[in-house]
Amino acid sequence: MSLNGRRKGPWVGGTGILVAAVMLATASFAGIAGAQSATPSPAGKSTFIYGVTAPNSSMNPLVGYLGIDYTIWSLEYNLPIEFATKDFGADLEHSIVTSVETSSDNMSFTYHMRSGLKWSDGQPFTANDVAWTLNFYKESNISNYSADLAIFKSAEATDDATFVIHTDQPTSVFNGQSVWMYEFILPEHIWSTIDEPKKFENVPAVGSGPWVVTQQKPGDFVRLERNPNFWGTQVGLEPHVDVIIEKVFNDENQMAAALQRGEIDFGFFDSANILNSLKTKPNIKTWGAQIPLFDELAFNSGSAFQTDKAGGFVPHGDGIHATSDPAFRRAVAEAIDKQTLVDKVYGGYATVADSPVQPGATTGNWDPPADQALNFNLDKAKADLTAAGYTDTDGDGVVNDPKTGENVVLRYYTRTSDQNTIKTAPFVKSWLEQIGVGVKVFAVSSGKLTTIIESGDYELFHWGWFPNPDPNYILGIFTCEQRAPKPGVYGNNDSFFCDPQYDQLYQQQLTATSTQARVDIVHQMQQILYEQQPYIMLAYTNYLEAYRTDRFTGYTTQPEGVGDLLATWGPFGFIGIRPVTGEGASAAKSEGIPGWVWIAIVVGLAVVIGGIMLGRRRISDEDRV
Amino acid sequence: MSTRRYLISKVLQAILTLAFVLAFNFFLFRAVGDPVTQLLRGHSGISAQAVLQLQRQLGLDLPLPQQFVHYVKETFEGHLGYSYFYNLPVSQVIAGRIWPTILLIGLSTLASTALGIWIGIRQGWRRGSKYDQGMLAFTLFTYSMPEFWFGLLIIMAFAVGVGPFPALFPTGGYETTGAGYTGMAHVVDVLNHMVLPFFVLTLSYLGEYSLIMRSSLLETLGEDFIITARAKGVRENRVLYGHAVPNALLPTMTVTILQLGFVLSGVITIELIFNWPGLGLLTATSVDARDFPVLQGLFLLFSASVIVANLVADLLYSYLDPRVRAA
Repeated sequence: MSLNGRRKGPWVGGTGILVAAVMLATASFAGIAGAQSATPSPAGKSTFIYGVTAPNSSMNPLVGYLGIDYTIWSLEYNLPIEFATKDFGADLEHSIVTSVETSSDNMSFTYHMRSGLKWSDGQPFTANDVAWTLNFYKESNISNYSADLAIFKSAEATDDATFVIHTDQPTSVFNGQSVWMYEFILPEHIWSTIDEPKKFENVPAVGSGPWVVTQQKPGDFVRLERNPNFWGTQVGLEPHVDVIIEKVFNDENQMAAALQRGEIDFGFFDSANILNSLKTKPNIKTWGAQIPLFDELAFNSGSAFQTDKAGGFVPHGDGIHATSDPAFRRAVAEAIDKQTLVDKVYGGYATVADSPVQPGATTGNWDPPADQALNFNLDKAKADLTAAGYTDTDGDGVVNDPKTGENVVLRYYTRTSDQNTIKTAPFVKSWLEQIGVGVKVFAVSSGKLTTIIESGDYELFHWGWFPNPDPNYILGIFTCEQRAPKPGVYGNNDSFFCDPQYDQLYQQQLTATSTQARVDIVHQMQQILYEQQPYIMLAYTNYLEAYRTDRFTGYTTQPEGVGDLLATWGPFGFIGIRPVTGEGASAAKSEGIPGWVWIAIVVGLAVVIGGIMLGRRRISDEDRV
Repeated sequence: MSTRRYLISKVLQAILTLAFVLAFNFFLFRAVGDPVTQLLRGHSGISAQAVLQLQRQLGLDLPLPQQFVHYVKETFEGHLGYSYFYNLPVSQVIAGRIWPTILLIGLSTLASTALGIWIGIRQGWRRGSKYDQGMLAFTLFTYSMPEFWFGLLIIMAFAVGVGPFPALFPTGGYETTGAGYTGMAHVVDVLNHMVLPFFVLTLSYLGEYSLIMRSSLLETLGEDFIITARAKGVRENRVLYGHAVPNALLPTMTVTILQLGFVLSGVITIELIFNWPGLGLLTATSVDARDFPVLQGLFLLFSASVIVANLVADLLYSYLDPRVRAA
């Protein structure tokens, strides 16, 4: 039965009215748009909002572990000695500690502090707080700090402005010439009273930094407000921003839109494409910051063949023999054109790398000797492979291992969560095949790859690290003890590199009694890593940043001239930023339409719907007659 | 089957399903990988002792059966565990996200249902008309559009402002971060943030309801009792609203109630695109972080809400249409 041509029912008129109402409402939105100029910031307070692409893991310095968590703690707590913005050096002029004296046996270090310091709640901040915190971290074996405190024995406060650190062995690392202790000092009067400190939410917090966390919505935002008792004003550290907000975005496109609209003032990005799309937008500047961050191609240096039992290691995995041979690894390194990867994969937001210890590390730059440099040269790579015995004995186009006689085919893992690893793979595969090394590329999740690495079932993978300015930690991951001892157990040493001489040097750098002696040892370790190539260092990747030029100014790069615009290793970058005033300044963008319009819309819709219902009721009544 | 037996059997079915989901959740999340290795990657200076300490702290050093017994016991006591990632009780993490999801997804589901039914009735009543054809094309188009893509376009148009489109609304979020609005100002602020995701969701799901309503109404209009009503001289308006629509609403109502069961799970893509801090977004970030306790809690909540909605739909349907009960 066709219903075509049926009489238009009375409700159709209602449709017209409702459509008209919606159109009217839409028109009113548009009309109002031009009239908006309100700022969402609370009156009289300047608020700086920066966007990040992942939620914080915790506000508690005992359990959080992400870089963005450290940024927050840098704003609300002090390190004994702060990182200088210029070069990550020790900035005693702007630290709670003003000088350090070393005992003749290099096992006791006396730290002199500023006096009259206060916590944000008004309580005195003394040497007792520092000593208590360091002892607490050591005794509780807090994993964030255990590497720094490996040879730390104890700390004691001798008066309100002096504390002494005692070590197990002679060392230079506590002598105050560089920032060794990346330990945030906590208020004893708060933390010593907590039964389960690791479960302490720490919001709102009591801190000593220029801002303290006052509110957090996990996964959404963190709000910090000015600490009225900040001691730094006495040394010229005067913050110009009242409120700092870290806003979490789960989609970078949305963060880019928020920056364009002026909802945020600054954003940290992961995607070079998105950053590039912002380059031409008005009032926005983009920046690739050079910070301690690198990507590497890691070899399985012999998980199945090593006999050193350090750390309870048992040989495991099915990684092929060739990658356990440093000569093979060096030849492969010569087949990788890092500059092409920097240009084509990283979009120019990276520099070619040669050591896991970045040039800006606290121990200074190290370059490989010119005669040992493993530069990109496919012919030389092929010749070096041949010289090391890797030739194609069966004529199938793939070189054979001189020891096992088998084809050398590398299982090469990339990560689905990192586009750069996926984009790199075709280049590497092509280069290696040109020197006769077979490659099978796999793309897996980070979790899956971790399991594969622990099991030693790989030859090559692409990942990266975010080291501290001091090289102790990143050098530590190459020690025998840090290998995964057996499948299913985590180990930081994901290349299974193990060299007793290297391990010895690692201990020596901890116990060197002069800073220069330590630097020399660190450089020797860098040399060993370069010669042995457990990692083919691909690139020092940039931190991608974009900011509005019409809202805040005074950004400080860390390290100077090339680094992070917010100088997130410490509070100084944030302290330096100030609102743009005068011509060129712009207020925050309006956050929608005003309340009275909403009321008008709701009332209008209620009237229309009510009218329709009344009309229908009348007609229904008529029907019943 | 008596009403009582029918009720009991349905409730029992629901409880059994929930028990299965409870067990399934536990094993499902442990099959995807070890969370400790995820938590430690890139973490400075981890010793083997620290790893063991973390495993002990998370209860992951116990044998799997013991972990399971512990999990069931804790769940029945109302403890959903402790988030690996947020370092907060799971119930606290989830509680903070429920309201935004209910507000956005709940309201848009109601709006798309109401508008969809309304459009479907009009289409069915005027089958083949230009309105019907036009609406059919429009609703099919919006229904088949990927939400995340549509959402991005809407952000570009109405939040950033492109060409003639004015930048009217916030790009995302639930409220203006850090503004600290209270009272009416807060309500208005949330409404402004909700406009774009609400619009995208409502439009995206409109087609589902209008299509069901349209075809259901067409089927009902061909029934004998409609011809009888017309033969008796009942007015067209009464034929439609008194006889056809109430019968045609049954399938739409079932879909709507089931859809309401999915409200809690949110719409992950939309919550991601609009940075709406709801349960969908929490699910996505928890998957990334392998935060098993939160995922377990979320899946239990989602499953429970769907199972309860299913039960309500079953019971309501049997009440409205006794033939179902007799079958």
